[in-house]
Amino acid sequence: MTRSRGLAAARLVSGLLAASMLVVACSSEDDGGESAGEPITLTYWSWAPNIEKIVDVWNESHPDIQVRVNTSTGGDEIVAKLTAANQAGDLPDLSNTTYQDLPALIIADIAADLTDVMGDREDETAAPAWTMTTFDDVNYAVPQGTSPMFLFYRTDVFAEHGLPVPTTWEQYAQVARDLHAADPSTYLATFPANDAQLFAGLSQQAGSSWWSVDGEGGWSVDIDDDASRQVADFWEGLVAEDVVSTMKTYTPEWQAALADGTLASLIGAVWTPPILANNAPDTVGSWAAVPLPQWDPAEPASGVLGGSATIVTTGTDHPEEAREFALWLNTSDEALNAYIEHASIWPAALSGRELPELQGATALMPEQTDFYQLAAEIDEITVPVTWGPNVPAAFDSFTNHFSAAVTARSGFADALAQVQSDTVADLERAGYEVSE
Amino acid sequence: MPTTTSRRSSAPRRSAASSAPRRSSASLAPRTAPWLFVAPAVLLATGLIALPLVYTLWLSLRGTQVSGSGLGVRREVFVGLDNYADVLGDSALLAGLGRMLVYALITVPVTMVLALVFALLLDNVTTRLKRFSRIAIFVPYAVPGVIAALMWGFMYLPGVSPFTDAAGALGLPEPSFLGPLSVYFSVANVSVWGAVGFNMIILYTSLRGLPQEIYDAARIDGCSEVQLALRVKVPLIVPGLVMTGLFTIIGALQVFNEPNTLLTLTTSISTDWVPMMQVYRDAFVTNDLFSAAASSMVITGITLVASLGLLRVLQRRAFGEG
Repeated sequence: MTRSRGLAAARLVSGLLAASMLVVACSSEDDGGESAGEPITLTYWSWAPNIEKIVDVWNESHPDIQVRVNTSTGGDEIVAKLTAANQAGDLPDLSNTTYQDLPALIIADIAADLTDVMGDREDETAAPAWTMTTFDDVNYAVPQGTSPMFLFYRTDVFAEHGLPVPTTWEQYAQVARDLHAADPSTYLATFPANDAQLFAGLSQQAGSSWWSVDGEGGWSVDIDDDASRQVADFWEGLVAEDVVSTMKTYTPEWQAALADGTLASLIGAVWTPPILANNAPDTVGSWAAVPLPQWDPAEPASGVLGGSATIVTTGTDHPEEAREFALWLNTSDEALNAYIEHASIWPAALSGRELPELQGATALMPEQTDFYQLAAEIDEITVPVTWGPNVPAAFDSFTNHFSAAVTARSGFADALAQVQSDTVADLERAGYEVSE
Repeated sequence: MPTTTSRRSSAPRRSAASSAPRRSSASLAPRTAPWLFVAPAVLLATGLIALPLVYTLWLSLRGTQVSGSGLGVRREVFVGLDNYADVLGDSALLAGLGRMLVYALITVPVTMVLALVFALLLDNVTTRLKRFSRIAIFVPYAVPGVIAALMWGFMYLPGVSPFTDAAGALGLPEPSFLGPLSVYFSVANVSVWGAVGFNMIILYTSLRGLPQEIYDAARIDGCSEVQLALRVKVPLIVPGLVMTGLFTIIGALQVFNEPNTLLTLTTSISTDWVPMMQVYRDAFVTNDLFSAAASSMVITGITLVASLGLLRVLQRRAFGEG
């Protein structure tokens, strides 16, 4: 046996193990009693940390409808795993999904119609989450949270160099230049080629709508439009001048730069504070958050960076109970309180935003008491976003072409055009009508 | 067991001479026994190789079609050879194959030469600390490929690399491990580091299996240790060299773990850097199982032709057949 054969064998064995566990997990679905007296068991796929503790709250108060959580599937592979489970006829009753994966799940006939429970909740749901889960007036998911975008910056580094907090992108570029000139080891930011979602969010802010369903039926793709090109040109300029770094995010290098202050700001979302606190614990207390810099301060806008929702699958035997649980999980004070205690959430259900814990400051920024208030305000200026059915393909193409462009420090516009054509080609290959 | 065998094999002959009905019942045992013996291998080969291959072939001829407008419903349809046309018409697979070849051209010779040199050194009578060295060289093989790649990746990243710090302290220019060209060597280094020990052990075992008398004879004839290694030992372990070489080549054709792990760290590796990564990406990231199946079939074909061709050329020397 060679090393590679050994690895192949190991992979095979682990694959078989995983498959057998899947069989076990799936067969447990049938535990649900057909007769009235026995409790029903629902399976729920989620990758959220500590989700078991939140589900425990439900299980304690609902002895007749027990929910079993399976956390083995990560957020980035949920479509592949659910598609496979669908083919095998073994769908879980419920699953989490990111907003950008939802269209793929609807088209694969996995996400069930939830208009029954969600249809009348528009006034009680944050607008960005509503638009991303509603297609043709049909609700396909119970939104969990929204993800207003923020600029997080190091107050101590900014103070040391006397830098203003940028409110426009023009100022942002100037701060990047000034900071790097004042301290060549320090960058204001990194332009991460691995984070297509960030670029998509910034493009949405600039007014781009990457996917849309046109009136005649069929998708149109506008990734290579003026607004996105404006964003690409802006960052290409900063990268070419070497006033922003190009390291990928979530690498050891990135962690080190956050921890030692050589990365002085980060564009993130409402879910970023715990991540910063985990990756750079010594910097707790030195951060502040402001809304994104603007292209036109007179018409402030913001994009979408992440967020997830709960779907009920078409494969469930207990649709009513599943819908009830999905609604409870994302809208009840009980569940949202458990989220706040064991994880973090910025709920899409407006009533949840009144909870006392969401009035104060975050652990990362103990002095900033208006963080959640800002989050609610940013939700108001967030543009409506429609994700397409092949977001992973577009993001993959982005990563590859922008990696090359970042290495070359030029050619961002060409890379964007490539992402556009790759995305259209992928849609057509999957059998969609595409109009450009 | 020899007695049983001889009795059984003689039984049909005897019965053939006597009567027809007895022959058929008596000959059942020798006919079923071989099948029973090969059954586990046949079952495993069918279940784990043939069936998945047939299923992949089937998938590679399928695709999806969306019916209805906008958010319609996606259904599986038969598309014939369309996926193959897409895969072969797309330059990505070819570019990936090219990068894989560059990687293989670095990895295979370096792994083989290092393994051979270490094996010969360990086999040399005058070498000290043999036991320690053997284990030290072998240990990296025990480190899983992904862990090895993460560990090396950490050392490659400029922001956290100890090499960068060391170069800075010595006033040398910063080494670039993840540049457009150096990335090939960096990826190859991870796999060489892991594979040398294993190949070395195989070659070393072959060397230990050689009779000592040959060495004594060579030394009496005035052969130096270096000459002994190059002119006597190496020719005698050619079968071992061919076998480890073949496995190293197949390993290089299937490279996946190392670049796929480094992918998350650097912009110099794309998600379709080598063919296996492209298959993984299509199947599990962009959810295009059908293209992934077609690419897999193409790669399987290439690997099969390459291995069989190489084996044909080398068979006589490797296994003493022919």
